[in-house]
Formats: sequence, C-alpha cells, structure tokens
Amino acid sequence: MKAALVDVLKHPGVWRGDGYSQTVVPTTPCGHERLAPLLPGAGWPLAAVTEVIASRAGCGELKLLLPALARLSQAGKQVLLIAPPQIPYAPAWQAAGVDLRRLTWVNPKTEHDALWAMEQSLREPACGAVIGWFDLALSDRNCRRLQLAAEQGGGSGFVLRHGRAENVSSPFGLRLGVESVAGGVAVQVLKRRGAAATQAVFLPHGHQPTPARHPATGPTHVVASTAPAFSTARRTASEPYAYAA
Amino acid sequence: MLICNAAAQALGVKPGMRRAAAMTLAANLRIARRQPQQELALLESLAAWSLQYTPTVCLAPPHGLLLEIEGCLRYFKGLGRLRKLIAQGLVEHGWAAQMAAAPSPLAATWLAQLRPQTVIRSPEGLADGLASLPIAALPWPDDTLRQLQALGMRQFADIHSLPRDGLAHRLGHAFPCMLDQALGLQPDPRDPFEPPDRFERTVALNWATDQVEALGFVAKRLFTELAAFLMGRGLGVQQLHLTMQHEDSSKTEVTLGLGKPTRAADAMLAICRERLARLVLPAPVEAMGILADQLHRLDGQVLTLFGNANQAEDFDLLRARLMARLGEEAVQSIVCVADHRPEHAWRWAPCGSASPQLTLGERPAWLLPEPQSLELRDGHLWHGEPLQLLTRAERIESGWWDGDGVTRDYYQAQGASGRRYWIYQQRSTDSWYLHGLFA
Repeated sequence: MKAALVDVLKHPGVWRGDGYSQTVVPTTPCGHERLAPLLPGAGWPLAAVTEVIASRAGCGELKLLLPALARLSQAGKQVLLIAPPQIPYAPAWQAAGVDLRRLTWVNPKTEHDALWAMEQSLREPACGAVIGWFDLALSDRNCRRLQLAAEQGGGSGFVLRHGRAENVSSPFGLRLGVESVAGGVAVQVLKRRGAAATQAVFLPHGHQPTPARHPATGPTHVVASTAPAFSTARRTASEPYAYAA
Repeated sequence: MLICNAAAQALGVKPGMRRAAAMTLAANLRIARRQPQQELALLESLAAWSLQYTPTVCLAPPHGLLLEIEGCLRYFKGLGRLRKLIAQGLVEHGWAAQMAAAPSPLAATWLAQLRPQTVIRSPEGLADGLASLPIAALPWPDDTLRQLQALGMRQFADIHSLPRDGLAHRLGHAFPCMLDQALGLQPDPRDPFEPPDRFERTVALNWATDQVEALGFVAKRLFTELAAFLMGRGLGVQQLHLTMQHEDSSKTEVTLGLGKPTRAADAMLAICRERLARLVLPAPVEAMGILADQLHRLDGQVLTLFGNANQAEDFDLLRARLMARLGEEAVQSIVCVADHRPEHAWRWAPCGSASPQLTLGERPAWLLPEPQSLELRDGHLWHGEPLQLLTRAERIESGWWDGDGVTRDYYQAQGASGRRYWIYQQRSTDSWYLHGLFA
C-alpha cells in the first residue's frame, strides 16, 4: 500500500505542495553535486531540450555543461556544437575530459540552417548531446520543433541564448540562468517541472588561483546562499539572481 | 505498335499495327520509341538484383531473365516462398513480371511468355507441360513458323509426335535440336551473367526541368535501382557521382558523400535532396545520371535489427546530410596539436580524427579567433570592466623558426563581474591582449 502511494506521488502529474516533487523523468547525470538536487530526475533531461541563458559568452555556461558532455562522449555518444560563439579550444575541452573524436563542430551560415542542423541532429539517436547557440529570437514554433525532434531521438538538447533571462519566455520544460560570480558560477533554475526553485546554486571553480599582481580594487562579490523556499509558489517568473553586488 | 494503353485500344489501335494506320485511327496518339539500350541496361540491373536469390543468372534478351533456382530452394524454404519473395521484390521496385519455372531454360522462357505461373518440377513432365502451347505464339523464326503452319501444326504436341529426321530434313538440323533442349533431352549451356563492378545509369527526362522536386523523383528512381543492384551483390557504396546533363550539352556534376558504405536508397535520397536544394542549376536538366564506381563489401552487417530503420544509430549518415546542406567545411571536428603557441595548438580535422594528449596549464574553453587588444584605464586593464590578474605569468615563447613566433606572458584575469579571461602581454611591445574566455 505504502509502495503504491510512493509510485503515485512520483507521477509527473501529481503536484505536491511541500516543494519540488521527485518526478520520474529519464535523465543523464549533470556532474554537479549541488545542482543535481534541483533538477527533476537529478540530471539533464533526456529526450528534451533544456534552455540555458547566459548574459554573454564565457559566463560559465560550459562549466555547467562540460561534465555531462565529457561523460557522454566517453560513453560513445556524439556531441554536436552548433554555431558556437567562439572557437571551442581543443586543449581545454580535452582537459575537461571530452573525447574530441566524438565532438563535432557545426558552423552553419544562417540561423535558419542552424535550426535545421539542430533539429536533424536531435532526431539522431547516436547524438548524446546537441548544443545550439541562438539569438534571443527563437520563436515558439521553432522551440516546439526542437522539442519534438529531441523526443524522437532521445538525446539531450541544449539551447544557449545570450541576454537577459527575465525578458523572454519559452516553452522548454527546463530553463536555467547562468551568471559568473567571483570564484565560480551561479546557476538559477528559472523553470522546471514541479515547484519553482528560488535559490541560486553556486558552482565554485575547481582550483581558484590567488591574485598575484594588480591587487583587487573592485567590489568583492558575495554569494548569498539561500532564499526561503516558497512552498506553494508555482511561478515561472524568476526573481533576479540572489546574490548581492 | 508494340503495345498500347486502354485509351488507345478503345480507339481501335492494336499491337502489331503500323504507325500510319494507328495515327489515322487516333490523331492525337503519342508514340514513344523503343530504347533497346535502356531496355538492356534495365535487364542487366534486374539481373544484378536477382543475384541475391541465386548465384547463376542468365540474360535472355530482349526481355527475359533466367534464374537457376534448383540449388537455392532449400535455403529459401521451398519454391512457393522463393517465388513469392521474387514477386514481392519486383513489385517493390515497380516492375511487372511474368514468371514460370521449368527444368529447361527454353521451356521456362516459353512458359513465362505464354503460360505465366506454370510450374513444372520434373523433366518427365516437360512434354505434357509444353503440349498445349500454341505454335504461332512461340518466339521462333518467321520461316519456321510459316512452314509449320503450312504443315498444319497448331500445338506443340503436334510437332513432338513427328519423327525428328523429317523435321531436320524440312526445317534444318537446329530445329529438332532446339526441341530436345526444350524437353531437357539435350544440354542447353548458357553464359551466366557477370555483374559489373560499377553502377552507371542515366535517365533521360521526358521534359527538361530545373525543379529540384522533379529531380528528386528521378534521383529516387536511380537510387532504387542502385539499391537493388547493391543488394544483389551484397555491396554498399560510400560515394556517388551525380551528373546532370543540360540542354546546351553542358553538365553539372555533384559528388555525394554518404558517410559510410550503405545501400539504403532512403538515406541516399535524403542526402541527395539536401545537396540538390543547395545547387544552383545554370540551365534546365534533360538527363540525369548516376555513377557508383567504388563499391564496398557490406555483407555480414546488420542493417536494421528490428525493422525500424528510423531508430538505427547512423551518425555517419547524419553527418553526410549536414555536409550535403551546409558544406563540408561547416561540419568538422577539432583536434589538439602539440604546439606551445595557443593559436596553433588546435586545428580543424575530419570528423573522428584522433588527437594527441597535451599536458598544458589551464586553458580557456573559448578561444577568440583573433586576439583582442586591451586598454588600460586608471592603471587597470579594462575589458568592459576592470580586470584583475589571478595567476603568475605563463611565458610562451615559440615558433621563431617558421616566422610566426610569439613571445608572450599569459595570465588568467577576472573581471568585476566574476567572469574569467585569458589575457597575454606581448613582451616586445608590452601591450595587452585578450585571447580566450573561461566559460
């Protein structure tokens, strides 16, 4: 009886008032201990597209994704980068554990081609992860096409956009905001299944070098840890990042 | 007239009519000329396709194929199943065929023409099986037919009962010999079909077109034939050459890379469609040809496991599709290069290339295509925000031998926002540059 109740509560359609429900969605490990508890299924969803919003290139978006990409490529899955904003620097990606033989850099000339390439790649079951960089203007229709393609292929899709997260909405089931902070990266879950996550997660840089020359004169940044979780809140509109400047 | 459709028949046109007579009956009759070359090519492609059922296939021109199936019956679990398989395969490729089985090649040919679906299993049954064939319809020389008719022969049984000597005297020695071959009393050796080591087909379009969709249909037909050919040989193809002949006798040639040996017509068509969509035709196309000259062994590979081809993991085909549409240079892999200069430590590579392991300091995940000059503001390095150095200098001094030498001190720097940069100081000029982003 008790086991049956647990099963019922796991159903994605059941929403629990006491916070985020443990939905059963197929995932691949995200490789971040602190972030995993906030993600439904404790990892990057499979057969779905996840949106990552960074204010600009180089904000920690790769720090967020690289552990999963490394794991997937080592497991024999293909990883595709579609229209990355800069050159993916091979030595760094290799050092992060990515098997470069399974990394493909697709460089379409137009956004239309990029969407097409992403859709085709998501349809392919051999692709473990497909990451596409797009401008902010990705229409709902295109989002849905990508989502359907991911459901067909079963891999993880990531749409990376640069800009302010608050201004745009999208139909993707999981949306994250990434911002760099002193000593690490702050990740905010903007939207997910179940109750909203209100607190930002801090992912520290592995080894933090100490300042050597030109000592710090700018303001120091402190990451405020937790904001109280609103148990009944089911909002998708996010607050600004919960760290003080 | 050799053959005509129902509408023409309704107007009174009949096979065997002369052209002028037919045109009188139906003024708007459209007459297509026979193309013996095309017919022979088609027959050969069908022969290559039927090699999947038996190793011995003979051509029986103008429109016959002989398959020796006695030895393969066990493998295909009986004659009934084999005939069904062949019939299904023919229908799938869009051909209509009349089939018959008999112990001698001549008997099988005649029966397929005059009594399709007949099956004679034993040589003893041949005489009975052929007995009722009308002589007038048999593919024999006109002289022979006329003489036989003059003798009052109507059916095959009538000749069979005649003494052979008399027949040889009247009709030549070859005639009774042929009868014996048909009845299985004399050997009838045939040259087996030797499949070519390449596939080349050209289809002339009825109307010149520059519509990509129309070309897609033609390509589909060609690919289906190619797939049938490859199927019979147990081979696959990795590269295809497509030739489009224009009206002004110029040509457009396209090479299709398929990523891996395959014989799936669907995959070829998908790649071809992407490639054609990108193509700018200088003039309408009036003929389309395909050439596959390098064939690869594809035996022993599971093509589809549970019949659902969509789920097969075919990354190579995806890559070929991407390349066909975006261009080969747009779909590549990256590898590390053992060079200390950061901009030389990576390069483009064909997909799947192995990469040497480098042991370097911490490197940024994004590299700028060109180093970006940094300015100094109030004594601080500035890139939209003041930068603060985090590490000691990593001195890189290399490449003096190839004229592209660098002498730089690399640092990791952090902006006020927490963003981390990879910057360097040019030691010759003391100026600062941004070279990468830690993402």
